[in-house]
Amino acid sequence: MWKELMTMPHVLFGVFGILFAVWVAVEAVNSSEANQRRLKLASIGTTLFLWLSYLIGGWWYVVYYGAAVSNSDKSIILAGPWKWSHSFFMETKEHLFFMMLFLSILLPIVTFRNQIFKDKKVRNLTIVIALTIVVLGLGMEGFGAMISKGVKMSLMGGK
Amino acid sequence: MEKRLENKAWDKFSVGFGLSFLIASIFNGLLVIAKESYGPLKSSMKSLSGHHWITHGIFIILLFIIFGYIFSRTGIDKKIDADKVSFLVIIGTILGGLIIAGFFFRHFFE
Repeated sequence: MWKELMTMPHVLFGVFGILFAVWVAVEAVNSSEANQRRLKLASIGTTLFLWLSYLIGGWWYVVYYGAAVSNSDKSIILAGPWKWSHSFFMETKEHLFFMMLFLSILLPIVTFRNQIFKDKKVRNLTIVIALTIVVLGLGMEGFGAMISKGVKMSLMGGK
Repeated sequence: MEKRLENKAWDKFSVGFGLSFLIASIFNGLLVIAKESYGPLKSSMKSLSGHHWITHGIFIILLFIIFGYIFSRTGIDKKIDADKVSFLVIIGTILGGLIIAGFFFRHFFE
């Protein structure tokens, strides 16, 4: 039960990271001197939640997902009909995530070290970074769903 | 013309780390190909931390930070504006994503 429950924070913090990145984009679009504090808060929140998602997901992945036992998710998937839900979706997801971490570091650098409302180009950069995080994040959520489906397909005998 | 940061040039770390994002994203993809194609590399990465993915993560994140810091010290902020960094972010995402997804896509046909 503990093992299954501990997949939840990874997904939950990932969703929070996406929502905070949307918040950053909205604040940047409406950027003014008055909302700089909110913009910085949202960008730090994005970073915090994405890193929490990474650390918890990474721990779960190393300790449980890929464990060399017959009932690990990876072993179950590879014994079933949707092997590619591991060999494509999980392999791609676990490495694409690093790009989101880079962006989660870049985002607060841009929001804290520039006055967004004074420069349209910097404002656009903030929006690009935030929306790229959103797109990658939604991709991660979709990939996660396909990995779970791969386990389900194995357990159901491919039906 | 908008006044930037009360007449300061725009932030050098934003440029440095923006450029580092492009480099690190491509390197991330190339490291995936290298370790998946050459077993001894993957084994040595595993021996360093207990799991190749942990070593991969530590290495690539450190690379991003170190490159970002180095680029920030080169005066590159005077040559690259924020629009170009936006372009680098988009290109880095597409290239990094395509290298990784493209490499693993072959598994659909196994």
